[in-house]
Amino acid sequence: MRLLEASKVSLAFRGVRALVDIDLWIDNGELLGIIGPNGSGKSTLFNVLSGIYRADRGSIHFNGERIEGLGPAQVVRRGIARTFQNKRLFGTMTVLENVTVAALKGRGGSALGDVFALRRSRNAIRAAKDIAEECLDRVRLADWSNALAKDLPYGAQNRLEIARALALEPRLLLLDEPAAGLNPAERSELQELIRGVHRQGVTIALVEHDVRMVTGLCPRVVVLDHGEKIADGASTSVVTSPHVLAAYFGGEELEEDARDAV
Amino acid sequence: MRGAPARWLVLGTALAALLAIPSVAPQYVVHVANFVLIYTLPVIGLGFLTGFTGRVSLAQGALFGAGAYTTALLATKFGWAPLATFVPSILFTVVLAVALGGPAVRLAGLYFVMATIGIQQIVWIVLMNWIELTNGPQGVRSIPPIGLGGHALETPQQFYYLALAMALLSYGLAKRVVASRLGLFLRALSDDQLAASSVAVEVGRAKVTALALSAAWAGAGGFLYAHYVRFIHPDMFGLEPSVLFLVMSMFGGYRSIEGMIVATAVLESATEYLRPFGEFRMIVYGLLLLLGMMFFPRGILTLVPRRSAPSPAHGKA
Amino acid sequence: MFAQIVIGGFATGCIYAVVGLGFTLVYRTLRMVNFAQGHVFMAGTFLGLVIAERANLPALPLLLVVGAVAFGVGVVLERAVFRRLYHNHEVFIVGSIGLGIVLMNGVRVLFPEPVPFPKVFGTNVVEIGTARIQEANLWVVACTIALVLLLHVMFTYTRVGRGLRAVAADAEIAGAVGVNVKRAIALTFGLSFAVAAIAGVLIGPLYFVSFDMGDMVGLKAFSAAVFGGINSIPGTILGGVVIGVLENLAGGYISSAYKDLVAFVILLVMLVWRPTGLLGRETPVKV
Repeated sequence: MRLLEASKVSLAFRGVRALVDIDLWIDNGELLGIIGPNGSGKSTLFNVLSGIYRADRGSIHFNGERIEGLGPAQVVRRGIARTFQNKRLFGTMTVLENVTVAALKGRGGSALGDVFALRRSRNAIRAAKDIAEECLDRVRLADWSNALAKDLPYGAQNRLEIARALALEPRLLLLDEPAAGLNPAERSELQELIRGVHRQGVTIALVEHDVRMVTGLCPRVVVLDHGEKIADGASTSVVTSPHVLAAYFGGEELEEDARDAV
Repeated sequence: MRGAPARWLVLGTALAALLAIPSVAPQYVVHVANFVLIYTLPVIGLGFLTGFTGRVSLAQGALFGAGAYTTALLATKFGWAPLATFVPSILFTVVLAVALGGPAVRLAGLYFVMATIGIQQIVWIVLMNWIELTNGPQGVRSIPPIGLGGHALETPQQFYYLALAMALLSYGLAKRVVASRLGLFLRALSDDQLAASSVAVEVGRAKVTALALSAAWAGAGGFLYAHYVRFIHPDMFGLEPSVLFLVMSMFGGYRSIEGMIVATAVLESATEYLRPFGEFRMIVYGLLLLLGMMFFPRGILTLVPRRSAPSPAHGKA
Repeated sequence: MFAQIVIGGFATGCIYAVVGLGFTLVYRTLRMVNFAQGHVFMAGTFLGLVIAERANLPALPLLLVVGAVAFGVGVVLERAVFRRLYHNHEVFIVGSIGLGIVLMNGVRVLFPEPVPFPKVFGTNVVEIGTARIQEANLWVVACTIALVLLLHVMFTYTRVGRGLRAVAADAEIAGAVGVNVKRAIALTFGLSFAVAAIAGVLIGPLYFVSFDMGDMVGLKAFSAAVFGGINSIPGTILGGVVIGVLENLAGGYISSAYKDLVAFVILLVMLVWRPTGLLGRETPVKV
C-alpha cells in the first residue's frame, strides 16, 4: 500500500529550478534511499514533504490525504517526522527536554489552560517524559539526559535528532543525511539504529551522501540530479546504471562505491 | 529540589523580611518598595517575550498604561468599584496587545522591535488625543484607592500588602507557566523556531499566547499602579517606561524570573535615589543605561549561563 | 489648499527622509538601529542655533559647518561609544536610547524652554500656483535634493563611497579585499550624524526649537525608513516623502489630533505586510 505519493512536484527559487516534476512514492514499511550529488534537490524535497517549503506545483498524498500546503506542525501531526542535516536542536534545553517537547505532540487542550490545570499539565509532561526516556534509550543517549543539547558531541547530536523524531511516533521518518560527519564506527552504529527503527514498523526515507550506506540499507533507491528524478529502482541495479554514474562527478567515485557495495 | 530544607529556610526568612518592611522601614522606603512590587508585574510579563520567545518588545509601557487607563476610567467616569475593574483591565490589555501585536509577533528579531515601537507610539498618541475619553494631556485625576473589606488602601503601608500579594501571585503563576507545556514550547521555539514547528509545536499560537500573557501581566501591573499613584498621565506610559521595563527584564539574565525581580528592585531603587541629582537626574540615568550596555553587556546578553533552569526535566536529576 | 498641504508635507517628508537616511546608513552596515538618531537631529538644530547666533553665518556656510562638526562628533562617538555596543541588537538599542536621553537632557539643561531659531533662510512667501509656500520650505526641499545627489555621487563614484557600500553589502568580504572596515563604520556614523544635524538646521527656522523635538521626528523618520525599506537609501527617501505628505493630508482633511498616528500605523502595517519595506530586498531564509 502506498503511504506517500507525490506527483509532479516542482519548486523554483527566484527562477532557479530546485525540483522539477518529481514523482515519488513510498510504500508502507519501506526503507527508501534517496541519493544524488550535492545540490541535486534531496534536502529541498524533504523540506517540501515536511511542509517547510511549499511546492509551486504538484500534489502530495500521505496516507490517502492531501498534505501539500500544510505547515510543518500540521504535517507532523499527520505522521511525518524528520531530522535535519544541519542539526537543529534546542541548544539551551536538556537532551531529555528536547525529546519531551516532541513527545507532547497530539495532546489536546490549550497550552494556556495547563497553567491553571496544574495536575493535568504535570501528568502530561510526566507521560511525555516517559516516552522521551524510552526514545533516548533506543538511541543510547539515556546517560546524557540532563546535559544541554548544545554540549553534546557531534555524533550524539545526530542520535538526539533521531530520538526527537521517534518521540513523535511517526509513520514515516525522513532522515536527512544522518551519517554526515560521523566516523566509520559511528556510521555502522547508526546503520544498526536505522535498521532497528525500521524493523519496529516505521517507514523510512533516507537522504544520504554515502552511497555505500544507502545500498547497504535500502532495497530501493531514488536518484535525483539537478532537481530531477533520474532513476528509481532496486538499489543494486540503479547505482551501477551508466545514467546515474554520469550524474555523479564523472561517475568514478560512485562506480567504486557501487562495486564495493555489490 | 523539593526536599531541600535550606531552601525553605531562605524562602521563609525572605518572606518574613518582606512582610516586616512596612512596620520597620521609613515611609519613603515603603513607597519605593511599592513601585518595585508593582513593576515586577510588567517586567515578568515582558520576560515571557524576551526570555522565552527571544522577542524584544518596546511596547510594555503602553500595555502597562492600557491597564492603568482602563481601571482609572472605569472607576472615575463610570463609577465602578476599583476591584471590579481588575479583570476588565487585564482583558482589555490582552485584547489590545493581541489585536495590534498579534500579526507582528511572527516577525523576527529587530523587525518585531520596530513593530512594538509603532504600537507604543500609537497607544501614546491615542491616550494623548482622545480627549473626550482619556482627558488627553490633562491626565486622569482623583482615581479612587482600592477598598478591601471596607478599608481604603491609601497609605503606602496599607497598599504594600496588596502589592506584595499581587507580586507573589504573579511570581507563582509565572513559575507555573515556565514549568508547563507552554513554557517548554516557548523555550523550544526561542532556540529554533523551525525545529519547534517540526516537532508539532504550533509556533504562531505559542507566540501569540506569550504575547497575551505578557499583556495580562502588564495590565495587572497597570491596575495596581493607577490605584496607587491615583493620578495618571499619558507621558507615564511612553517609550521611557518601556525602555525601563525592557532593561529590568533583561538585566536579570536569561529566563530567570528571580533575576528579573532582583533587577527590578535594584534599578527602581537606583532611579529613585537619583532624585537628588535634580535636573541632571535624567542625564545620569541615560549615562547609566549607556555605560551599563558598554561595559556590562553580559548583564543583558541572552546567553548568561543558566544556574537553575526551571524545567520539568530537572526533577529527575 | 490641497497643493499647499502637499507641498508642506513634502518639505516635512524631506526632513523625515534625511533623518531616516541616518537610520538606513547605520542599519545596512551593522544591522542595528540607532535610537539616538532623532536626538542627534535635535542637537544639530541647537548647534546651528548657537553658531548662527554667535557667528552670524549665512545659510550655506552654516549648514556646512554644522554638518562637519556633527560628522566629527559621529566619528568620535563611534570610536568611543558605539563600538562597544555591537554585541547584539538589544544591547545596541538600549545603549543608543541611553545616549539619546543624555543628549536630550543635556540640551534641556542649557535650553529648558522652546526658543526661536534665527531666520537664516529668509522669510519670504513664494506663490506657486494657488499655494503659498514659505521660503524656508523650499530651502528644505532644495537642500534635501542636493544632499541626496551628493550622497549618490559619493557612493557611486568615490573610492571611499564604494568602500562603504562594500562594507554594507558584506563586511567580511569587503575586509578581505582590503577595505578598512573599522574606518568605514566610523565614517558611516559620521555621515549619519551629519545628515541628521543638517536636517536639524533645515527645519529650525520653520518652528520654535525645543529639546524634545527629536523624539517624534526621530521615530517618524524611523517609520519612514522601515516603510521604504530600512536597508535601501532610495526607499528611505521615498518613505520619508510619502509619510510627510500623507500625514499632512490626514492632518488637513481628517483630524489634526491624529496626524501623528499616520506614520506609526503605516509602520505597523508595512512590517506585517512586507517587513523589508517598499524597496528593500529580502534576505532569503536558509533551512
